[in-house]
Amino acid sequence: MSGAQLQSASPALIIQGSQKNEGSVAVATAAESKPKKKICCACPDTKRLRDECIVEHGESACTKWIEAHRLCLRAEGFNV
Amino acid sequence: MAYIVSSKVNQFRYSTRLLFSHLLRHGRPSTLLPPFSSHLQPLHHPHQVGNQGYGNGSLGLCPRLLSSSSSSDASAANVSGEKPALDSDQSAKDGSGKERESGSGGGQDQKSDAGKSVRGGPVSWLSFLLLVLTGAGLVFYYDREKKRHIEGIRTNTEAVKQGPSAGKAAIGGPFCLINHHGKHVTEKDFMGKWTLLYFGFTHCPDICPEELQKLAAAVDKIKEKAGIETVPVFISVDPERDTVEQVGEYVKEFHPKLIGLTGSPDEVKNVARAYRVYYMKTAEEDSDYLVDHSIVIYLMSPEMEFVKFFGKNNDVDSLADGVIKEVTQHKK
Repeated sequence: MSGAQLQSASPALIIQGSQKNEGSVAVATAAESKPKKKICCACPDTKRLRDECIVEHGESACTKWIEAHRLCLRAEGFNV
Repeated sequence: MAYIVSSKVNQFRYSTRLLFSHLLRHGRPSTLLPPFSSHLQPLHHPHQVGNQGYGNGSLGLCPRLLSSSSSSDASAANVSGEKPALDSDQSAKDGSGKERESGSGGGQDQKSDAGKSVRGGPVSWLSFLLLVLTGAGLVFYYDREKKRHIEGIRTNTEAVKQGPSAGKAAIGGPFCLINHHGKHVTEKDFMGKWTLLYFGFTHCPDICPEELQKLAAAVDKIKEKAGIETVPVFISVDPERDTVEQVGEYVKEFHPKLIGLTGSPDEVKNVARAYRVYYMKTAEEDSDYLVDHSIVIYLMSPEMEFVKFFGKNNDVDSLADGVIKEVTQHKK
């Protein structure tokens, strides 16, 4: 398990270094991060609309935006 | 005399043939009457002239035939599409004798009748269809633009509402989680202080660290600017992997005051629902999955009531200034 973590940490370091991320040191030392496109930064437009809708009206009233964001994530290649 | 008689018989035969052809083509009683009556009159006159037996009478026939053919020419000329045929008919007249003249005259009558029928029905039908389509198109376009305009107004209204935070959302409620020291905490433990809540997970690749760094910087800036103490709290939405130790190691990197909370999957689900945070695991095969979740920072009052939320668009300064503004207003 620790070996697997170490293996996953090194590609994260490489990716973070190549991307010149400001938080790369914190990320690398804090926890392992998967070398994959960042789901949090994908589809910022639909994500913002979904988050604001859920805060204002609740999740049950925002199924349209949730589905729109999900479709966008699938288009980006995430398995959701 | 024999020549005159034979020419008359031929004319009669041609007229009869044309009449039958008209009947077969149109097949309408209403359309039969006018051409029938028009043909009857010239039929009688030749008979009368024949009975009298005058040479002048035979000479009199020619002007009538010419006048009838000229009238058919005029009616044919009205139809713009018939001009080439008209020219060919005129050339035929010049080259042929009397028999040819009567035959070509009948042909012109047929063409003029056909032109009339084409002008009447299909033209008006086509114009009516075009009118209907144009009207429907205009109605559809207007309706779509109207809906778009209404949506725009609603969007602007919502955008304006978010500014002053009018009509606070029903966010907040009791929860029972475990902090990064292994102690059970509830919402009551945070009463008496302004709290900034953030929901994320420790395996978050990029955005969670940025948001937490922003949160930590804002906490320091708020204290520096206004002397207000705020408590930053990180609540994990990944209960399967974020253990107490994991969360403890994670929050230590950002701010000594940052409190990390985690709990059982059911408890995390309850707190996420109460605080209107959306989170969903990606369907990965191994345990290295990602969590798609709302990116919001909530400002909670000392009574643990929702005051305002800040999205990803807010930077450190806008976050700090927003908190200071809300705290100042609340104290008044």
